[in-house]
Amino acid sequence: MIALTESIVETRALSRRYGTVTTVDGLNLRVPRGSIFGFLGPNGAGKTTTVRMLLGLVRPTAGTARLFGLDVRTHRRAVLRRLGALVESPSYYPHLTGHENLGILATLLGLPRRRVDDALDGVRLGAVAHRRVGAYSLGMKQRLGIAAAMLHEPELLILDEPTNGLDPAGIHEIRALLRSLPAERGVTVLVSSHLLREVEQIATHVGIIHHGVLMFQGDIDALRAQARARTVVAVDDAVAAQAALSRAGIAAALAGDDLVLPTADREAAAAANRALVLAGRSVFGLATERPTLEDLFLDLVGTGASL
Amino acid sequence: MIALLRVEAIKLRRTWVWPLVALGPFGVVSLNALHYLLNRAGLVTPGAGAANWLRLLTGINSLLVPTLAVGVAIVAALVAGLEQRGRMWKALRALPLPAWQLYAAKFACALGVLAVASAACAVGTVALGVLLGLGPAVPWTAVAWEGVRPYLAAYALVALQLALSVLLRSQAVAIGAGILAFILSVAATALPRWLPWVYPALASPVAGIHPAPAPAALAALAAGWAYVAAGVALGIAGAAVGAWAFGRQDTP
Repeated sequence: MIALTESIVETRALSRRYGTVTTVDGLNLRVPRGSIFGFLGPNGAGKTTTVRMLLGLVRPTAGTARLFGLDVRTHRRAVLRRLGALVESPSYYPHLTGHENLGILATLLGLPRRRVDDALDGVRLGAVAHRRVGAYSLGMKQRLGIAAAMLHEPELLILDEPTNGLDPAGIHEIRALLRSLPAERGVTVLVSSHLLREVEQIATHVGIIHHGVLMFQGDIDALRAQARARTVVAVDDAVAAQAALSRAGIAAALAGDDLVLPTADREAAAAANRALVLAGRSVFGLATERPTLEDLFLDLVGTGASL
Repeated sequence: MIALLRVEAIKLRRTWVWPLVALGPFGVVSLNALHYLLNRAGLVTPGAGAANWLRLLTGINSLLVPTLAVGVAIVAALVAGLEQRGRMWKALRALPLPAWQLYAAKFACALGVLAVASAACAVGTVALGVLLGLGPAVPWTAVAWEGVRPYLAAYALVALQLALSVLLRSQAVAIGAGILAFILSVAATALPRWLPWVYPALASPVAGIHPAPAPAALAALAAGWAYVAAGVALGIAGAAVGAWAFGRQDTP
């Protein structure tokens, strides 16, 4: 499906090394036009470095990044004219008002002044437009950053951790705003986050990066399809039960005091039950479980990773 | 580029730049005023209007040159700090503008701020002379060149300090270089003349005629232009190198 869709972002073997540390390693990222692409990974996985390379802020040590079919290295300004970005923490002049801050960007981009008011109203900062940004709350600064990114009505919006430091209401608000963008304004959104649940409700596509390597990318339904159901077996002695199953030729994994069969097939569950009972083990329960996307995400990036 | 210069002016609103621009010339002029209040008899020769004015100019110059050296470092750090404080470099670099223009606008902004300070110092010099009753023989040319020539000769220092303040994440090196510039400019006459730090001192119309000014020394007015030319040329070349390095630098 992705191969048939036009990619608005396409990287080939994109890599960045800092000294001996490879932060981004051979990334082949495809962001389809019109999608909301959730770019996921634990802190330090290489998300921000990737975003910086897409914007031409950091030069790759190898590989290429093409946006709108243009190489960022050689067509930086043509690319930047068509995208808006919020990289990590928001950028602002604390001693100037919200209106002055966006006014500066509007002047530099050659935009009419009314865009500033529209953009401030769009993120509900109209009432504080003439207050110094230094006095804004973190959520307000973040919203100002999003307004700045959308000021010139870009085709592609790149938001790096836009909900960092926001309260639940703020997160909800930004989520609603992002969700409306592709349909209402035809904007493609690339949003990075270290939390899957933050983007799973709005993302149409996801890419999961870990230690600089892309572990998964595609349509979010394809990720869901990977979340295979399994059977959890509650037994008296999990270790002995696993050995008994092994002797019967049935593979099972230990999960705390329980065993997990990598299938939800009823016949397979019944066979395992039979083998356990014949081996003299007590079976307390057999339950089918379907892992959440979060479980899958953790499987891909490992629970040991800092989340 | 015009848009970039316009926004530089907006960014300076409500900052410490303007109070400091006022403080520099005020310090130079008011310390001279104090000097004259305490030693008026020794400094003002009745009837010698031109020599009195020239002596005032040498007094102004002795403070203006080191103040300019420190002022350059402070202004460069402040205009660079405007972007660093709110992490604006990454936002500006993600705009469809050439990186060299962002850098050139900063250079122009620093030069503009310093021009205002230098002009204020020239105005203050004349005001002080009139208040001291040095008479109507105001040496307009020398006063104007005292305002313009050390300023222009300091372009090389502006380029250096701006590069240190913008390209290095820590301001420690820039501050160190500012202190060094102060010391070198105080010792200017004892130093090799090719050092950019001595250009502002040597570009002054009263360079080398302290402490015994005579009207005849005004004949030497033209000598300082070589240092003005060297300062401007080196400054523009230095800013070009800084802009090139800025364009190649990764944006944190």
